Amino acid sequence: MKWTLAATATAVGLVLGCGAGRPPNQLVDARTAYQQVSTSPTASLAGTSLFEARQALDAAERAYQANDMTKAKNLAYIAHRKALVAQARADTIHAMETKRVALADFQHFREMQAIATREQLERAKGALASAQREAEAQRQAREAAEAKVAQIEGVQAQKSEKGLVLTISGSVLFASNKSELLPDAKDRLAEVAHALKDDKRTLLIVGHTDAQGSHDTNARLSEARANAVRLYLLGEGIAEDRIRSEGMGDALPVADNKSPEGRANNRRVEIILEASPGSGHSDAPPTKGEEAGKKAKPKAKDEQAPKKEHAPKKEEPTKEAPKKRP
Amino acid sequence: MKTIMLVAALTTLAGCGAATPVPADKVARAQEAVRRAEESPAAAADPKALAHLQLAKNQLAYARKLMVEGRNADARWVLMRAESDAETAFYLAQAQAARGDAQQTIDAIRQAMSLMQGGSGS
Repeated sequence: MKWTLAATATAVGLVLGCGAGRPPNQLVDARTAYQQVSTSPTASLAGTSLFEARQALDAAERAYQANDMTKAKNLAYIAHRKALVAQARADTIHAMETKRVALADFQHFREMQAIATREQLERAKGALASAQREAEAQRQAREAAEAKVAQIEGVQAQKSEKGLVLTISGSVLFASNKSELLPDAKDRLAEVAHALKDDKRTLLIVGHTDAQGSHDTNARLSEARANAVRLYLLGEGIAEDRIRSEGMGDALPVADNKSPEGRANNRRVEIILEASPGSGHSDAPPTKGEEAGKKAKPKAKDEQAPKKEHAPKKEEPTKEAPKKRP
Repeated sequence: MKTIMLVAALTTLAGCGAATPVPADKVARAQEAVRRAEESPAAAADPKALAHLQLAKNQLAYARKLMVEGRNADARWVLMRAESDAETAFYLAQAQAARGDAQQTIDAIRQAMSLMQGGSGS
């Protein structure tokens, strides 16, 4: 304590001691400190403390001018501290302002995040509503299509696991052994195409024959007939990517082939509105005709419209008298 | 004889500047400024503030010594200096605390934003 007091006494003694000429160190320090704080970027934040520092420095300068060195040194010492206080108060306000701005920015960021989240949610809701509307529209279109096709003469509609199966008798569509559509058939198919235009389901056209003749011939004939129907429907506005055809030959009879009535029922074309893409395919082993039918998409523009097609010549059974195909 | 001694004493005191008593409020203000700086929690954490506080305390003790010695004029200046150092210590500590608080807030915000943006690094 004694040493501390002695040191303080020495320091104070220097301050209190008289001097003249050069400005005392205390005044030089005070001027420098004031210069720094008054020109710092945060000077405007110092408020009245900077003014007080200026007043203290002015008082020290006056004492110095009056050659009252004791007073000048003491006032300069105080002015130096007041400049430090002004800087500290400016720093304090600056730090508080920095914190306030950071919090405000963060708040803004959170609000932007919340807005972005809400917008995402709204977009998702919109997409869901749109999907629901689309699904409802498709359901209504399906129902309307089914109601329309049920009224078309000569077309039998039946729901199955594959989808809605429209069966048209072969005698309605084709002449015997031919794959050219009859004029009446075109009218029926035009009605079918009109009814199915807004239905988004895919269509699988499947040709069937009776069991007369060779399997290969039946396969080719059924495929050619299915393809003729497909091309006609394309020409009536059914989108190409919605429609495929295949020939099943005599592989899937629906009646006994021994009687004329049974064979007539077996000769048919089915238009399957698939419950899901590909669901209309039969479980029966594919015939050559079926394989061909899957590739029966038109390759050129002129194939978009139904073309005159000739079924391959059906091999007539050698032992059995040839029978007329409707 | 007593009268002569008293006059002599007064003359001596007057020669040393003791004729001007130290106002009580000068001592009180210096003491209050030191107390306020000492009670500021941030003062102990800031070396500059701590240095000014120590200067203030030393000068306050020295001013008391000067008063005991009757050097009141010197004591007045030392008390004013003690007060200014104590004030400097207080405001330096306050600024340091404010800077620390702002930095802490900014760090916490950065961490929160990083988490909110999924940038936690996990």
